[in-house]
Amino acid sequence: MLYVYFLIAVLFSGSIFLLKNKKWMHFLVYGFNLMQLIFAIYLYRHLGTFEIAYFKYDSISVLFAFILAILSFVAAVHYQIYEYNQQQSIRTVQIHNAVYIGFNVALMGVYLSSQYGLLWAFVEATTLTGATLIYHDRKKIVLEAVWKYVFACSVSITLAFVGILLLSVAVQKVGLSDLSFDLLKSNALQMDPIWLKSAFLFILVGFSVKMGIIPMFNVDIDAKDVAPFPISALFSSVLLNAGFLAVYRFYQMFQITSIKPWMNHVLLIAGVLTLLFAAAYLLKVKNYKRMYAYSSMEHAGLVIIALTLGKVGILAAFLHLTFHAIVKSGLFFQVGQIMRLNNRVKINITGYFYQNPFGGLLLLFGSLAILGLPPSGLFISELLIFKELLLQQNWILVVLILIALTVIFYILLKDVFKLLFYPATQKFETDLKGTVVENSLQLMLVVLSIYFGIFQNHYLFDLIQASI
Amino acid sequence: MNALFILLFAVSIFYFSISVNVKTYIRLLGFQGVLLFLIALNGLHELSYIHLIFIALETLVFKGILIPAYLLNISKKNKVTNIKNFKARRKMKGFYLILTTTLVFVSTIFLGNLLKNDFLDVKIFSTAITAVLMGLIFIVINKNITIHIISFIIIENGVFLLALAIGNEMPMMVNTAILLDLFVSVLVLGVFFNKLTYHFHNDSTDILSKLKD
Amino acid sequence: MNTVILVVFVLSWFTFVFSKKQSYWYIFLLELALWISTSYLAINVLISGNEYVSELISNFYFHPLIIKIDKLSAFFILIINFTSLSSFIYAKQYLAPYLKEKSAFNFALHYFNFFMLNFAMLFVVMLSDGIAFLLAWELMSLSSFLLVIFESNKPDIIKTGIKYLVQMHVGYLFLVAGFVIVYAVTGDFGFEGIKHLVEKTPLIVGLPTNFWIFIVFFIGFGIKAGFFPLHSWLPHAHPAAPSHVSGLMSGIMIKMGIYGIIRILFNLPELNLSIGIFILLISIFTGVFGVMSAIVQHDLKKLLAFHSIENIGIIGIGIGLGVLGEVYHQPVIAVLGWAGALLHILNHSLFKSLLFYAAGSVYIKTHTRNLNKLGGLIKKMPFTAFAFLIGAIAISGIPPFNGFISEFIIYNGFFDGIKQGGLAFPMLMMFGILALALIGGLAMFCFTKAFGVVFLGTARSKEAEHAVEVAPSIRFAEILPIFWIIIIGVLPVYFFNFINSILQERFPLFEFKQLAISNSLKWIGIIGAILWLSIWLFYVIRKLILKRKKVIYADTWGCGYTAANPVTNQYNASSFAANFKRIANPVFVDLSSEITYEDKEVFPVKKSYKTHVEDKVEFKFIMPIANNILHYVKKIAVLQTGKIQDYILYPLLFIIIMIVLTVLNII
Repeated sequence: MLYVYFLIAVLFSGSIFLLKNKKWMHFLVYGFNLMQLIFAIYLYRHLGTFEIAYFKYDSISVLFAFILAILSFVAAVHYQIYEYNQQQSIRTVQIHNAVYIGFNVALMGVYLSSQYGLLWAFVEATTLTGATLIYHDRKKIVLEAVWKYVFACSVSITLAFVGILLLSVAVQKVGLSDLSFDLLKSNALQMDPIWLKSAFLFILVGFSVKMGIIPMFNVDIDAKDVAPFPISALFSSVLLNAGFLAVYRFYQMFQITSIKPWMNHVLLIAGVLTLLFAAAYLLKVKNYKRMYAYSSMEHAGLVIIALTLGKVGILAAFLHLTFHAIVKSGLFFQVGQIMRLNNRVKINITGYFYQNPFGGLLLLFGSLAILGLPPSGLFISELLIFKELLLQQNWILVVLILIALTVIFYILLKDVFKLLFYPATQKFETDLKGTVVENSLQLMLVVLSIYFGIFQNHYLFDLIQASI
Repeated sequence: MNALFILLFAVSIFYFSISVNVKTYIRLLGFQGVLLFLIALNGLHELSYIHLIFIALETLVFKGILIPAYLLNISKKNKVTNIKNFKARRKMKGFYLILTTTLVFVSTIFLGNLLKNDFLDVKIFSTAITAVLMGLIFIVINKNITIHIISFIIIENGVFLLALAIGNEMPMMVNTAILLDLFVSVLVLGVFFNKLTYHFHNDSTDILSKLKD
Repeated sequence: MNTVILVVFVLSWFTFVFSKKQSYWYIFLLELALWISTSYLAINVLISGNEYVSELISNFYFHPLIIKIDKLSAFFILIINFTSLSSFIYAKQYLAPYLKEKSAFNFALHYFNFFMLNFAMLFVVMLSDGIAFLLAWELMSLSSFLLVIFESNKPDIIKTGIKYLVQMHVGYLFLVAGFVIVYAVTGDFGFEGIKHLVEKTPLIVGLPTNFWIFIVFFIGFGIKAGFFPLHSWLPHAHPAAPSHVSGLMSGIMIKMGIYGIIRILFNLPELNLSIGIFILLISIFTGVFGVMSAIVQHDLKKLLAFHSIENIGIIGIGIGLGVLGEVYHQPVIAVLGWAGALLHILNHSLFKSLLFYAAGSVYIKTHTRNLNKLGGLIKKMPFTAFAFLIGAIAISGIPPFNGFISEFIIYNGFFDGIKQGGLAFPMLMMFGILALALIGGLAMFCFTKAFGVVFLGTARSKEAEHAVEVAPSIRFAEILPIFWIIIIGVLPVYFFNFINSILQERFPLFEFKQLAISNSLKWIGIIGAILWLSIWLFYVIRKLILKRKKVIYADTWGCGYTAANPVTNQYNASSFAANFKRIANPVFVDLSSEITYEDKEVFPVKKSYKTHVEDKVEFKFIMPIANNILHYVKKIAVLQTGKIQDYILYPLLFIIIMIVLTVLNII
């Protein structure tokens, strides 16, 4: 089936270049998305099997594949509207759509690969395809962001590769050569901790740009700022998941070894710093897209911290990632509508609730959800994280984290309500309000997040629980 | 024989920190590519043709000829970076840079000896780590995008050396994927570099600092 | 009943499809279903005396979601439902002036959140599992925040609302911390866990561990309740909210904090002396501070908001008395303290919502809350004046109204306490009596000012001059609490017995019939009834006498000064409180301007004078901390340079620092 998936991706992606009609290009992307959804269902029914030797369908990858399949489709629909309103050239749409499929495949590869080298290669592929997707509006500022993104990603991914090489030193000592997760896990106890530690350090730094955490979050924020908003949505949700998964795979393999406390400390430092930096940068933030990007950074930091908090913490981390992906992508789609109505997303835009009541309502509920307020699912996962965090009784860290989170809470609240309710000062185009399709898709995302906040979905839970 | 090549490679890193001339940098990159080929050739235990072709492609052709030629070419075409008198404007004086390089080199040798084991060639390992770190430092202290790319390729060379030092063979498919990625990443970097110099008429990072809050 | 609750919750989300007027009736229907179903359960529990335990959702984040109603919960459910009822009836006409300017979504959002607030409050008192409770708790904060910002086109109101929500969030974090500490000790995340805390716990800083656990919870709940010094959101949020929301929030929502504190105290295996003294002292501070700050206000709703703080103080004094009574094994004192506190919760919910409704009536007809722009409204709005007057007398603790009853019970407990032997206990009791008397006296002073300046005298502005009486539905909403205020005042003994039946769970062995106070309460009721009867009699006689005579209406008497302008020469809010302000200076920051004359000024030019006071706690304590945090956090942001080489520097530094930390064995 995986062969079929790759084959269809290549076929669809290639045939987009043969088309001259934008509509058909979009149809091909939708077709691919449909196939991806079917593929995700196939994955769910074949949990735990291997394919092409290096791909394994374990529960967490299936969960992420589902999120990808759904969000990618929603983003594709939004892209069609975005592109139509901007009246982009056929060439741009062609490249975008073809690369879009590639981006999806790369992400799917990151989720499914069961070998560290292969995972690395797919992460690198997300950089290359992602950079092309960002470079959509041919403006100078976009070029600047793309350059920074590509360059910093190349450096960071090289560092991650250094990490993998260091890991293979440790692996060689045990007499292995393959870097597949199952093998590594079963031999983890015999490996030299020094090599594992240095490998982890480089891998964390290397994938930090994908997750948007310390130390390489800057370029990630810039990329989300200038990218077309459906792409920003995907960067904040599925790509963040991919980055997290890359780090988590390492953590999962070696959490039985003696380096676990050390890994926890490094992750905690990175997480707390991420939260503090997110808070600090949010204080200066000047446009709503960046604001939501920093909010993603905050959540990534929180998830990294949650990872160190034992089993419940990891459960909370995956719940948090799932809910965050749903809510945050919905918010970016809504930001796209703000952009369409006002031609900018600067922080001085106000009165969105009066411009576009339905969109405003969605933005309101989405933002409240992203702040971790009930009845969204994020409330539950954040509460679990707080609970485990306080149980550690590391009070200095707790105070730092809570101060950072409170500052972020305050700033987001302030800016979102300013955007929604302050008297409108700018002119806008009312005839560009969201279409029924857009609105219902975004509504679906909001309803999903609220549904998860009230009812414990056992499919989701079983998937996560099986992976811990 | 191998020790000589490695020594030469280390010397080339020192050369980087002495020189400020970009043309020299590009030549040094080519030189490093050839050295890598030689080191890799020496390290090969059994001589299979596929491997040989693979390595020759990666080092001699790609790192040794194509990239330097490409860099020279775009530098000339853009006229942004007039190659003859294009000097790197570093934030650090040459003397301190050499001092730093020495320090890094000494500490990596120390580190290598500390971590010594049967599967690790300490000489190559130390040189490789030095190359990676110095590449990062070159990026940090320079303001020109051209030099950033050159430094990035130094890092890549360091990583290649590291892979040699460790000598772990990944499965063929994974290896191919990794290699492909490296090719494409340098290519993408080149494409965007081209666009950048075309639109901005400058390669200083000062003009590329609009994106912030 | 469970199905009804779940169904109305799901249905409430469809409010947004209705038009402005439809959404009111739609939510009214849902509210009705909610009120009836929960009140039915509550009354059942109160009558039968058995707890109601039932599973609402079988699988809610690791536990089934179980609702549990005991008598205490039932008591709160009834108050919540009643206050919501009057508030929602009041809302219809109060929001009518906004029909034009606000969109259908605005209204739907408002009504939806009204429903959610009611729903969340009901669940706060019905849940005992920690996670579900915290969810309901946060939902309550969130929905009340969205209610507060109804006039959302005013930036000031949004800022106030955000300050409110942030403080609530901090309180929530304290609650999480409290539950986690209990969880760490007992392995149970929720109220049940508190029961399993060990009785004799080790001392921390000379005080028992239970005391510190209580303090963590107290901070969390106290922010909601508005205890000093955690009250600073309260005087801002209440004026900003629409009046029915202020009434609901002040009437019952802040009591959720009290509910939490009572629940913790009821569940703690052993009450310490330190807890009792702490509650008593902080409540006395709260009460005195609240009433002193109230007197100097000239915003009518802000004044009422400070009175909420005062009344929280009185409730707290009752709770403190109850705890002290239990600690000293004096069940009579304990029962009197708890009963006074619980009854005062009910009483305050009645008269405070009434006062806010009346203040709101004044606001919608005059568009100002500034006392110095009102005056003489009793002639224009007689019913509103009547309602405010009843509320004012009741809140000042004057018979024959309900406020007197609860304070009387607490006084009685204190006097009982003085009779006991020892030195420390009677001293505490004396202190309590003094504080209660001071609070009562000052409250009376404050409401003399408020009622006098708003309703008596001459109108100080055009708006006040042209005010008219409010719509019947608003008046009906005000009659609802008035009815109970009078009933409790006249039939106190029945309500005392009702409260005692709730306390039966707490004091199973105690003979409630032996309480001497029942007799006094009976007589208070009879005298109150006689008073009402004679008032009615005098009114009838006056009517009869005046029937044939011509009545002349004239300006308010100018104290014999014929030339004086009655508008400017009458006492206003500032001058009424001027003497007091001099004494009470330590509790607030005076930002009033002063009028100075220079030597050269032979003919003084026109000068203006402005009085303005700020809350000292907020001004000197909370704001500096918040500003400092923001200041230091902002300093981190200098690292964002926008240059790519710096962005490469950070990972390099990160790696080096981590290596150094590892080598030094720090991590």
